[in-house]
Amino acid sequence: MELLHNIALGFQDVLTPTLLFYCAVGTTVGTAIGVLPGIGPLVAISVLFPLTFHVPPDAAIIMLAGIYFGAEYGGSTASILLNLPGTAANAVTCLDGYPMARQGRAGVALFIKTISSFFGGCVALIVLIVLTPLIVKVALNFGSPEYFALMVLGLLAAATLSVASPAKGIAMVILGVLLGLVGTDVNSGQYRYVFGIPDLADGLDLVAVAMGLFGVAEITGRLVSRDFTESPERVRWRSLIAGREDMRRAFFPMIRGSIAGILSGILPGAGPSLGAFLAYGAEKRVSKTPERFGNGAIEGIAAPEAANNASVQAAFIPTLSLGIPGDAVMALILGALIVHGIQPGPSMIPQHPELFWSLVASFWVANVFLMFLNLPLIGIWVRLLSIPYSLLYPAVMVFICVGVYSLRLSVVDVASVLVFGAVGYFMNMCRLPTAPLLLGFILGAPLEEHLRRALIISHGELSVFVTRPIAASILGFCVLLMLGTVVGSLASSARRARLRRSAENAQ
Amino acid sequence: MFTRRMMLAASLVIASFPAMAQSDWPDRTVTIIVPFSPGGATDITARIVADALTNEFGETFVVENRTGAAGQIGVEAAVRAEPDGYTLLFATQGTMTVNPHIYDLKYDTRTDLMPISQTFSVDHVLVVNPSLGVNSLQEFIDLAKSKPGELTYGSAGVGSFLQLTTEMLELDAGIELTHVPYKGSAAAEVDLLSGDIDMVMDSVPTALGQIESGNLVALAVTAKQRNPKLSDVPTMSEAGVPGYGISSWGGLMAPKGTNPAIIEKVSEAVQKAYQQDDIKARFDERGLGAAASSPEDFKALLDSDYETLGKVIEAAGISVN
Amino acid sequence: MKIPKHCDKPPGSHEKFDVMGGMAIAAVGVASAFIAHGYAFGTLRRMGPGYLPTVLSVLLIVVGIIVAIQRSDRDEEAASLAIRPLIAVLGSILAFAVLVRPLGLVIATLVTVPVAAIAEPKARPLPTAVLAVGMAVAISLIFVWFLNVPISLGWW
Repeated sequence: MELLHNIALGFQDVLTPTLLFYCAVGTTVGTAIGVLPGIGPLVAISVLFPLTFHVPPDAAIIMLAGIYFGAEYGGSTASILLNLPGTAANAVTCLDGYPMARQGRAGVALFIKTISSFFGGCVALIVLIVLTPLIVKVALNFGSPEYFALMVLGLLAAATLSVASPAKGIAMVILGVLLGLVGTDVNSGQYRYVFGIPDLADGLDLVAVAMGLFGVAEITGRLVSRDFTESPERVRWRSLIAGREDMRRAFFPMIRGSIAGILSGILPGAGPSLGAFLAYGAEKRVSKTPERFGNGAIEGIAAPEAANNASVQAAFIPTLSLGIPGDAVMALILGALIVHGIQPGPSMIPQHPELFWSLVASFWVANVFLMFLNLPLIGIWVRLLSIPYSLLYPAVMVFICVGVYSLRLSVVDVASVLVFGAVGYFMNMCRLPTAPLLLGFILGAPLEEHLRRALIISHGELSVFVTRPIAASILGFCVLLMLGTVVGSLASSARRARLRRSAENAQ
Repeated sequence: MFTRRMMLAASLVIASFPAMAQSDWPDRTVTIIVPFSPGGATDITARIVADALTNEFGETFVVENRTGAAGQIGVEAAVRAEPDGYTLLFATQGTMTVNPHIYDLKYDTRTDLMPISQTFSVDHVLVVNPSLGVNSLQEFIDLAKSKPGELTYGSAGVGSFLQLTTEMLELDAGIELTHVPYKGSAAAEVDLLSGDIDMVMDSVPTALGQIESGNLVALAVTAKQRNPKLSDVPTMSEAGVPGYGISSWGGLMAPKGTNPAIIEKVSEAVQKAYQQDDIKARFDERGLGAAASSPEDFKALLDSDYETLGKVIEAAGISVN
Repeated sequence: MKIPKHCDKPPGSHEKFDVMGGMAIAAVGVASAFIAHGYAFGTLRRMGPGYLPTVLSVLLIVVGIIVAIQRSDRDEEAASLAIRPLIAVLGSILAFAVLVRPLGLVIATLVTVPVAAIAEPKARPLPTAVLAVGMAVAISLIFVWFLNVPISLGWW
C-alpha cells in the first residue's frame, strides 16, 4: 500500500547513524535546558534554534525535535520536583506531580510521566497514519464559533480543577481571564490594562506568571511554614518504578488523554495545552474518587502528559498542511522548515508524502530516544530532592530570575514573577486555588478573540452559536456539564447538612 | 536637510581624521536587532542578510531578536543604542512608516534612525475563496458594491499591511468591506479557506501554496508590476484600480549619529551581496524580492510610504488609543 | 497546593481568610471595572474592547462577595503570615530585577542569593557566599556562554 510504503520510507530515512546522533544531541541538550527551572521548551528552542542553521535540513529537524521534546520532558521534571512549570501544559502536571514528590513518590511520578508521554506519542502516530486526510477537513470546519465553544469548555474544566468550592474556582477563572486580556486587543488594536508599559503590550508573560504563581508561591509557603523536610526518597529501583497498581490506574487515563491530546492538536487554534487541561478535567470527572486529584493521583499525571505529547505529534498536520502553527513552538519549527527550503502547504502532504512522513518519523524517534535516555536518569533527578532545601531554594530563585529574564530581556517579566509570587502566596493563605487562575489566563484572550470575531463575521447575529452544529453541540455539552455540577453540589451540600443535623440530633 | 553634497563633505572631513574607527570597522561582532520573533519571515530574511554581511566583512554579524509591541521594543532598543556602528536595526515598513501614525512613539523614525539599505520587498495579492464566485477584480468590486459592508476580509491585525492595502482598495474603488482582524495572516487564511471570510490581501509567499493548488483564487497583486511567481495575475492598476501600487519591505537602519562612512560601507556590501546568485535564489524561492538600495533611495522609499500610508490611516480612521 | 500547616489555631479562624480572600477578589473587580470603563463598550452584537472586561469585572465583584460570605465546610488549618521569608523571597527577585540591567548578571546573582537566604535564620555566611559565587559562575556558563543569551555579565 502506498501509504505504508511512504511511512516505511520516512522511517528508513530517519534511522541512520548521523541522524540518530543529531537526535541524541538534541534530546540531551533539550533535557538539560528544560530541567533548569524557569526555562522550558520555548526558551530552549528559541535559543538553540540558530544552532540548527548550519546543519543539513533533516538533521536540523530531528535536532529541533530532540530539543523540543527534551525541553518539554525537562520542564515537566521541574514541575514534578519543584512545582515549576515550564509551559502551560506543565502547570497541569504540577497539580498532582508535585504532591506526589512531596509524598516521596517522585520516582514513580517521573516514571509514569515518561511512559504516558511516550504512549501518547505512539497513539498519535497511529491515528495520524489512519486519519490524515480526514484531519485537515476537520480542522477547516472549526471556525471562531467552534473555538469559542471549545474555550468555554476549557474554562469549565478549569473551574472544576481544584478541590475548593465552585465559587472560588469560578472567581479564579474569571480573574485569570481578565489577566489574559492585558495587552493589545486583537479586534481593535487598543491597549488594555497596559498602563503605558511597552513590555505589557503583548500581555503578561505566561512563564513569568506560572513561575510566580506556582513556583515562588510554593517556595515562600514552605519557608513560612518552616517546612524543610526533604522527601524521604529511598533511591532504590523499586521506588523508581511504578508498581502494578499504579500502572493499572494509569492505563485508561493514558488512552483518554491521548485522544484529548490528538483532538486539541489537530485544531490549530486550540493549542496543545488545552488538551492537557481537558484531559485532566475529564479524568477528574470520570473518576470514582475525584477528591484524590490535587493530592497525588496518578491519573492526574498520566492523562495530561499523554495528551501533551499526543497533541504535539498531531499538531503536525495543521502546521504542515495549512502552514498554521498551533503555538509558538510549532511556529519555530515551521520557521526552521522554511529556512531549510521546505515549504509547508496544502500540496505538501499529497505531493511530498515521504517528506511529511520522515518529519513525523523524526519526531517519533526523538520521543523514543528521550524515553531511553531519561529512564535511567530518574534516579539522578530524584536525588536532586535530597539537597538541603535551605541551599536548594536560593539556587532555584536565581534560576527563576535569570530564566524568566532571558525570555525577552524584560525587567517587567521579572517583576511579574514577583507580583504573582506575592499573589500566589496570598491566594494559598486564603485557600484560593491557583491552577484555575493560570488556566483562565491562558484561555482568556483566545476566548474573547473568537467570541468577537464570530460576531463580526456573522454581522452581529447571535444565533451563529446555535446554528452551526459543532459549536452548538459543544456549547450544549457545556450547559449540561454546568447543570450537572450545580445539581451535584446542591445535592452534596444537602447531604452534608442532613448528616450534620443527624449528628447533632444524636448527641 | 541632509543633501548629498553635505554628506560628501562630511565624509571627507571625517575621513581626514585617521583616528576615526571607520576604516577599522568592523573589528568585532556587529549586532542586528530584529524586532520580531525567531522563525518568522522577517527574522529569516534578516539572518540571510547577516550571513551575507559576515561573509563580506569577515566579522560576525549576529541577529538579536527583541520582540514586543508590534516591533516597538526592538526599534526603541536600536534607537537608544550607541551609534558606533556595532548595532544595526532590521526595520520593516510597518515599524518605520505605519507605527508612527498609529501609536504614540517615544522616538521619531524619520530622524532617530539613518537608512542604510532596503533588504527585501514583498508583494501582496488579493485572494478569495473560489466559492465566492468571482474571477476578476472587477467582478469582486461589483459584488462588493452590490452588498456594501457585507463582504468580509481578514488581516493580520489593526494597522497591518493587509488592512492598509484593503483600505486603499476600498477608498480607490469606492466599496465598503467589513474588517476582521486576526493574530497573523496565517490564521486569516484558514478562515478564508473554510469560507468563513471572503477575502484576504495576503503576502505572496504565504498565499502562493494555496493559489497554486487551486484552493484560493488570486485576483490582483498590489505592486506596481506583476509578480514573477504569479505572472498571469494582473496588478491592481491593470485590473481596474489605476494608480494603485505598493509593496511591503524591510531594510537596514542605524541609530542616529552613526558614522556615514560605515553606513555607506554596509549599503555597498548589501548591494554587492544581492548580486550573487545564491542570495537571489534564497529570496526567490520564498517569493520575496531581493531589493537592495543606496541610503538615499531607501530614504526616498521611507518618506514616500510614510506619507502614503499616513494618508490611508487617516482616511480610514485607524487609531489605537 | 500544599496548605502550610500550623496546628495551633482554633477551628473557625479560617473563615477570616475566606472573607479576606473574597473581599480582595471583589476589590480587584472594582478596580478592573473602573479601568475598563475607559475603553469603548460597544454592544452585545458588536463588542468593543471594554465589553468583556467590564462584564467580567462585575461578575468578579459578585463572585468575590459570594466567596466572602460563603461558609467553608472544610475544617482546614489556617495559614499563617510570616514576614521574614516573604521579604526574603520577594526581595531577592526585586534585587535581581533592579540590578541586572545597570550592573550585569554576575552582580545581580551575587546579591540575589544572600537576600533569598535571609529567610533562613540559621543560614551561615560562608555556605551562602559559596553558593552565591557558585551560582554566578554556573549562570554565566549556562546562559551566556552556552545559550548565547545576550545579557551583559557586568556593567559595561
